[in-house]
Amino acid sequence: MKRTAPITVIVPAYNEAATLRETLESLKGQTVVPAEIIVVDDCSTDGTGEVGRALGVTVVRPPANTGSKAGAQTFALPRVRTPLVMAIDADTTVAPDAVERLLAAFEDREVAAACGFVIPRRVRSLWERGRYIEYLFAFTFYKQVQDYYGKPLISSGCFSMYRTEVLRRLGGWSNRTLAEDMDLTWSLYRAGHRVRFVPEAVCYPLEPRTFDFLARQLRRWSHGFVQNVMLHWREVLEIPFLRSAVAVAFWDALIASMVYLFLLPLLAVLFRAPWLLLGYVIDIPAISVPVLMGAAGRGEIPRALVSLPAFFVLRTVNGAFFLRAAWAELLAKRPLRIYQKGH
Amino acid sequence: MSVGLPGTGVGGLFYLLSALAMPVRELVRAVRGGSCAGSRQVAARQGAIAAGVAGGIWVTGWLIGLMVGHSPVAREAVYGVRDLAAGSSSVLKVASLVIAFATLVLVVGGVEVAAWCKGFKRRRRAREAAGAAPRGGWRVGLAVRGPERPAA
Repeated sequence: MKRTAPITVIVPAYNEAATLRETLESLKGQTVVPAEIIVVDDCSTDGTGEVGRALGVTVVRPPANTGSKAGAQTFALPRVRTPLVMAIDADTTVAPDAVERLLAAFEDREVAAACGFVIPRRVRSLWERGRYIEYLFAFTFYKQVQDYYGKPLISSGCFSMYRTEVLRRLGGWSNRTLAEDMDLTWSLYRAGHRVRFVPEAVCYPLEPRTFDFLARQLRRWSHGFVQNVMLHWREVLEIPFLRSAVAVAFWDALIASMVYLFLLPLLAVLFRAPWLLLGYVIDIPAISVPVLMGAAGRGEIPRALVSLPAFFVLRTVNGAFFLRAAWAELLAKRPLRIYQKGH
Repeated sequence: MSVGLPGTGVGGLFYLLSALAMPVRELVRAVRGGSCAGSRQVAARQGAIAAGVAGGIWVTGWLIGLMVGHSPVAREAVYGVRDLAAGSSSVLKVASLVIAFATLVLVVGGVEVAAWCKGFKRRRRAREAAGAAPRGGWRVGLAVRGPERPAA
């Protein structure tokens, strides 16, 4: 008999009938069973609600589409009766022990949120491969360093657990920015809470397969990052390590993007030296170390080696989206407000 | 979601140095009795990754040096004149390192200074709110204060 854990899982879903079943089955197959699973059917038209009901979970439907993942999750928050609440995307599955691993982080009373290791479930297209390497690198190296210093930059929105009472006090997930997970994480720090990264708790989202889907996701993430920096910079300044991590992330996103998109091609043309374009992949030996160490732990070295070149393409594309977002939000004062799907 | 462009620029250097500092920090904590097996393990693993990354950066520098040293086109592109080729690879490596560290110091140092200024302002406001005599700098202080009174 499996132990029931005092957790309610909220699954926001808008037209997710194709992927929801796998998500719910992975939740039901956990080593500890959540007390309740609530699917927020955000006025879908593809039978998402029926998929949830067929699997015996609670399905709630707001009177009108909430317009964002944050809105859908917050809609379900008043129904939560457990001390812990978990949010998971409707296209994300979790390892069988993932909930139990995250749960362990809450033995520390100061911890208000915990997130896990993210690995794309499907690694086939160029963009999925790029994201696979990006996650292997970031979650094997950067995020673990952030956690050691007590300040993970984001408790990932696709799979995180929170203390219900703290979340309610903050008003749930806010849609004042397009990156509600970053907003919530930084708000938790500001309120004096701790956030943990638990690398043993693994989740598997579906990442963008096509450029169209990727573009929507990168647009939202880039604008979300800039919006959060604009919203929180005063408070972030008072939080050691986080302020440095945010500053270097912002600096790199701005300066490295300009180097990739303008400086390198310009120098290559000016000096008539195409070899300068090697600058795009100059850090391949340094990138490879954490990636291969992360992949070795998962028995996926061949997959990582094959996917490695895609990372450098994705990184350059990412740079273009970030520059555009920085321009629109900071200089042109044209903030992006419309939430577009993509976890 | 993920943030920024992982692996590039000062961010990479920031995490590299932070990870290299972890085993040292853990050692200090162990001496003070504040270390646990879990954090020691994390520090050792991240320290090892950081050492590997540092090795990777060295390999990159070595490759650049090799390329610049053996390719006349590359030499010319970097230095403009062929005569400066001797020792060019080490100049390039040192210059890259100095620029990278200087930028990191500028970015992180700038944020730390901004944080200190903000904290200073907040502390001053708190003192003023608590009814302490406002301080407008030592010159003003000298002007309004009289000589110290002898204790009663």
